[in-house]
Formats: sequence, structure tokens, C-alpha cells
Amino acid sequence: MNSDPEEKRPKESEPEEASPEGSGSGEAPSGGDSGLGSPEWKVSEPGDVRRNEGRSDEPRSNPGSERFESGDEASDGRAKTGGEASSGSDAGSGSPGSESVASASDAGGESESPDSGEAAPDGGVGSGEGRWPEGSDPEGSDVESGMRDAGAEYGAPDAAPGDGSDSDGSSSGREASPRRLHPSSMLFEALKTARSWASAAAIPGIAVLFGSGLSVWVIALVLFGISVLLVVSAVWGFLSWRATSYWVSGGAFHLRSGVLQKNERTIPLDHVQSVDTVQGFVQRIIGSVSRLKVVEVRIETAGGAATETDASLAALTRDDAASLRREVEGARRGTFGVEEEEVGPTVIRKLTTRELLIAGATSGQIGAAAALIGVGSQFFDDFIDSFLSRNFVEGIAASIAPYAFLAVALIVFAVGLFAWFLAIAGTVVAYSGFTISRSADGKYLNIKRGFIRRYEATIPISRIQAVRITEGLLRQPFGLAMLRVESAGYGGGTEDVGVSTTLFPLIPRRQIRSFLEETAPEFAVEPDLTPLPKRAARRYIFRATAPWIIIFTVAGMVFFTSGLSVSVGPLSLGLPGVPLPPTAYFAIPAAVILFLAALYGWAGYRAAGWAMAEDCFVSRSRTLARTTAIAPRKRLQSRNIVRSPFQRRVRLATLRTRVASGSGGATFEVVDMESSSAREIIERLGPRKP
Amino acid sequence: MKSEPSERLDPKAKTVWRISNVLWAVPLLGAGAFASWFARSVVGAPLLVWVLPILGAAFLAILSIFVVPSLSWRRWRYEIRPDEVDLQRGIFWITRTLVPLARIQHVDTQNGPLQRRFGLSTVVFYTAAGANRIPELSAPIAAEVRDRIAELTRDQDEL
Repeated sequence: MNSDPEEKRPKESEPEEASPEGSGSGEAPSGGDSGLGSPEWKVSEPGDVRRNEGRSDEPRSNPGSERFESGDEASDGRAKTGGEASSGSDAGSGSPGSESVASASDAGGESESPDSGEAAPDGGVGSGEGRWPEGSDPEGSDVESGMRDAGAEYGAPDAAPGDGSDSDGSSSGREASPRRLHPSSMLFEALKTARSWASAAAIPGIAVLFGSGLSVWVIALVLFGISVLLVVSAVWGFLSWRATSYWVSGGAFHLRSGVLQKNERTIPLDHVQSVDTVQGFVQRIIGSVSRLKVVEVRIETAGGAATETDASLAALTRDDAASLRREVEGARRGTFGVEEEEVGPTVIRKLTTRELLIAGATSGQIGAAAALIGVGSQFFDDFIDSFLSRNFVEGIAASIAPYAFLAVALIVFAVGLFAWFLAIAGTVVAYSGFTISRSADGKYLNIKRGFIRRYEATIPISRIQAVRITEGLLRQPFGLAMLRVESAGYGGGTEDVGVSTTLFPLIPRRQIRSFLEETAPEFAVEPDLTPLPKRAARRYIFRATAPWIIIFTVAGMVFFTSGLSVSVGPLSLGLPGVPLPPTAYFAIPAAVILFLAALYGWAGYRAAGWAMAEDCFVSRSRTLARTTAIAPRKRLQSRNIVRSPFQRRVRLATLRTRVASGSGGATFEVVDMESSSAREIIERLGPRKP
Repeated sequence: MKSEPSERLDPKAKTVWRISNVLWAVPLLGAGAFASWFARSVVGAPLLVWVLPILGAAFLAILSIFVVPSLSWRRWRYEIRPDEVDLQRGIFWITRTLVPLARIQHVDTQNGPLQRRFGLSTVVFYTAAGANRIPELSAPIAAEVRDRIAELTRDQDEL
């Protein structure tokens, strides 16, 4: 494999722990150590030799440090993984447990046979462990010591597996070798610290600057402050890097962190919902200017709140991330994109640039963007107030007054256009490069997207509870839709806070079925929707207009009793022709709004429908966008029928189903369906009698 | 679907609800009285206006103390079927809820100080999509229901 042990070698030496290690090595013949230290190298046979040499050359540096260093090279991680994978063959042990064997042999060299047993499983599992021989020996003589202070404790987890030495091969042994993050995490930590301090200091700092003027002393003070900040952040970054380590052992993921207050978090592997990698802005920049490819890794659990990441590792090389993911996900190989060259995931669909732009143009985020502009214009007002003379502004206002209607129309148009571009830009940022793929074992979906912040998420297919097809107002006419999934106990990460995750942002409606066939076959149905009975239409329209009727009744009473209707004078609208009576001030908006509300109600009625398709309950409704929800019977957590007295009178009912979603649930409902069908369906959706 | 679940809540539920609604009605009446006083003395509204808040509050209080508990009790029914829990509740909006036993993750019984005085308990059962409750069962029945659900849940793995 690509591993170049030699390269690693040079890097390994880290001053700090060298001494303890040295001692350790002293105990064990150095060769033995090395064996432990680098099972993966061992894997590549030639490597062994070198490694030994390397050993001798270098004062037996602590393996821990070396490992991290090695992280720099993208290749090295792979090497190890490859090592494991291939180790069977390479090691020549030939047995399936080959890797373990290999490591075992190392261990043997080491002299502690039981350890070797443990060592074996490590090697098998994860690349990572293999690397850390220390982990393998419980006593951890040299190794642990190598691992700074914490090392001793690490020894413990390893030790446990040690007993399991008998069961080595089978154990799939996740035992541990505490690993540190990639050293570049120092940078991230430092940046984070600097940023938080800087933002805390910024406002008072600026206030002082402007308040006291720029004297030499002030500048000196500021510079001093900045340099102190930088130094402190750097030191903090280093300390926290040193204090952070993670490992997988005893069926759990462990994360130790904290400079002052030590923290150790243990997440049972069973509870791990996903291992996501995120390439943040800084990481991408680093990646683009150097060969260093690091990612942030987030481990989420089923129980965790949707918004919070259960464990986050600031910087790992892609390969370390991949190997960690593999360990956590049960030593599956080439599960996701990270290891494309091994067993690639199948890319199911990619969002083309054209689709991306269409998605932006039809996203319907114009409203949100316009609101944003509205907020922005407040600041603009303040700006005008303070910097432009009132007269000047009023002069302009007066000069355009005759064309007020036109001017307003233009402004509205311009704002709308601007909002539209903002919406497109927002979509591009969020969904650029959207790629969905399926892992080689077909159990997971992997989604990558994002322009500035590269986002990657993994969704276990078996956890998907329901699919939502959303046809926005601007998309439905073109037969386009967006797909989302509700999945249980899976937050999806930072941007998709909560419950549902975008499965694909823009897809032609008629391709949805085949797309689902490939992603989540359970949901690939061709529903034949039953519309609602005609008498439901009246209720839909009534519900939509009722609040407005109340509002306009009250407003009308005020308008006509307060004398306002007289004082406003006739309404001209600025159009040629008859001036309208003052009542028009009230009647026209009321009529328009009531009409729109009725239309909204009618559209809701038209869109609503339900179906049983295969074993799925399909319900469709419309707020603004038309949404079709597909939920398999087996995924329903509960169902209910609600009937108000009015519904009872006309034999209609509202049917609701709930599925698990995130840490709570999501509800799908059909309002005003035929009461008898609702009762029939709620039974059909129940458990099947055996 | 059966027309109604078979079991009712403990009749003492009405008393408990009445008492707890009294506790709610007191601040409500207070607020109504304050609003009326405010409208009369500070704003100087005519009689027809200022009596409205206090009358409204009194009406709601009477309703919630004397009418709602018995209506609610009459509607509330439950049944633990072999494969599902069946609930019916609601005075105005009648809600019928079915929860498959296979979906229930765990079951609790809870009781507050007031409930304890009357020897009542609430059974709460949780699914991945939230909790459902059967309130105001007499404590031994609640325990029985809880154990029954727990036991049946164990038996059912799949739908």
C-alpha cells in the first residue's frame, strides 16, 4: 500500500514523552516494541524491516506522537487501513484473523503473550489500534508512558480486552489505543479561543478606541492585548490538543478532553447513530493551500438532542476519520465516500448546477429573504437619518411624488428581485454539490453538500420513518419537488436542526419513485389518492376564512362607528375615473383578503387526499406547498381520529398518524376525510393479527 | 373499530379534577376582577363593558368546576387490547387514539399529591413519538394496567 513507513518515522519523534518510552523500550527489546508499535507497518512486510531499522535510528519516540504526526499524510492512514484489510494476506499468517495474528506476532516479540492476544483484535478492528501497540499491552509499559500522563489510564481499557485475549479474533476487538487528534486541531482550538475572547473584547475595545482617540499608548495597549491573546490562544490550543484523546474499546467510544477540568465521555457503540464528517471553512482552506486534508468528525447518538453533537473531534485526517468510522460502525470496510478506492459507495444522484439554480429560483424563500431585506432597511433608515440631511431626502421624495405609484412599484420589484437573488444564493450555499450515495453494504445513505461549509451526513436507511414530498408553489407547476426524510433519533447535524433531513433538494415528480426505489425502497410506492368528499370543501373554505371574517367584523365596526369612514374622504387610487366612496377603504381590502383566504381553503381541499399503498399510509395536504407524506404501517407510533361536533354532524373526521422523528415525533394528518373511511383505515394501520 | 373502549376511569376522577380546577379558577377570577376594576375605575367604562371580564371569568370557572369534569369523565375510556392500547377522550373534539403495544418503550405510573389523597394514579406510556396517558385510575388498577402493558409489550416485537 501507499504507506511509507519511512516517512512516518522521521516524524515520530516527539520530545515530550520520549523519555518514558525510552524506559519502556528498555524493558522490552526495542524490536519488540516496534512490533507493537506498528502492526500496520508490519503488515506490509518490507515495512517490518524498515520499521525496525527506523526504531533503532530514532530514539524510540513515543508512538503516540508519531501517530499523530503521521496523520499529516493522507496516505498513511490509508496505509494502515489497507494494512488491516490486506494484512491477512500480507502478514502471510493467512488465517482470517491474520491481522490479529500479525499483531500477535508483534506482541510476541514484545514478550507479553497475553497482550499479544489483545493486540490481535485491535489490529483486526481498526487501523488505528493496530497502530498503537501501546494499546495492545495492558501494562502498557512503554507505550502508555509514551502516551503522556493519561496513558496510564488508557492502559486500563486496553487491559480489559486483554482478558479477552482468548477471544481475540472473534472479539472484533475494539480495544483501545487512545489516539490524539491531528495536531492541526491545535489551530482550530486556538482560533476558537481567540475568537471568543476577541468577540468579548471587541465592543469595549472599540469603544475605548473611539472614546479616547488614537494615541500611541492606546495603540500599544491594543497591540499588546492582541499579542497576549494570540499567545494565550496558542498555548490553550496546544494544551487542549494534548488533553484530548479518543479511542474505541470495550464496545464503546471514549473521548477524553478538558485542560483544566478533565472530561471523559463514553458512548456505547450500539447507541451511535452516525459518524458524520464535516469539512469546515477553515479546514477547506487548509486543504486547498496544503496537502493536509482534515475533517471534523461528529458522533451522534440516538438519544441525543437533535441540535447537539454528542462528541465532536475537531480535526482528524480523512483517513483517521475513515478508520474511526469503520471501527465504530463495526469494522465494515469502505462504508463511505472517504475510502472510495476500496469499496466505493454507489452514487445515486447528484444535483447538477442547472438543478441547483432552478432549486434556488423556485425555493420560495423569497419571503424570508424579503423579510431580511426589510430588517436591513431599518439600518439603512438609521443611516439616512444620521448621515444625509433631512432636506435632501425630502427633496428627493417631493420630486418623485407625482410618480409615487410607479416609484413604489419599482421599489417593490427591485426588492423582490434582490430577495430572489438572495434566495438563490442561499440555496447554492446550502445545496451546492449535493450528492447522495449508498454505502456498499446498502445500509446507509450518505449525503454531502454545501458550498462554504462542506457538510456530510449519514442516514441509516433502517431508521427512516417517513418520506415527505414537498411541492412548492413555484415548483408544482413544473412537476418538481423536494424530498425530505424523517428519521428516528437522528438530528442530521447542524444545519438541518431537528427532525427532518433533505434527501434531495430538487427532483422531477415522476422520478421520485425510482429514486426512492434506490434510496429507501420501503417508501417507493405509487399511491392512488382518494380525494375528500365534496362536503369537506365547505369546511376547508370556512376554516380558512373564519379568522378573517372575525377580524373584518371587528375592524368594520370600528371603521364605521368611529367616523373614520367619513373623515378619510373618497378613495381615488390615483386612477382616472370615478372616485370610489369611502367605504371602499374597508371593502376592497376585505374583499381581496377574503377571496384569497377562500382560495387558500379551496386549494387545501383540492390538494388533500389519502391512500393505502402497499403497506404505507400516504397523506397529502397543502399549506402553501403541497406535501405528500409516506409512512409505512410498521413505522407508525400511534394513530388517532379526532371529530369535532361539526365534523360529526357531516360524518367527517380528522385522521392523524405519528411517526418517530428526531427525539420527538412528526404528525401527518388528513383533515375532514369520510368518517367511515377513517375508521376503516385506522384499523388497517394497526398491528396485523398473527 | 369498536364503537368505544370498554373501561372507564375511577369515578373519583371527577372530584380530583373539580378540586384542581378550583385551584385554577381562583387566579382566573382574580384576574377577571382586576380587569373589571381597572375598566371601571381607571378607564371609566360603562357598566355593560366592565362587567364582562368578571362575568366571563365566573362563567369559565363554573363551567370548569361543575360541567367539564363530569363530561370529561363520561367521555374518557380506555382499553388494553392484546395488541393495542385504545383511548378515547375529549368533550368537544372527541379523540380516539390507538397505540400498538409493540411501539411502547416503557410505562410509568405517576401520582401527584392530590391524586394520592384520593388513591389515584396516572399511567403514562411512552413511544418514540411521545407519551400517552391514562389519568385517574385507582392506584391498584393503575398498577395492574401498567404491568399488563409492560407484559404485553414484551410479547410483541413486530407489527
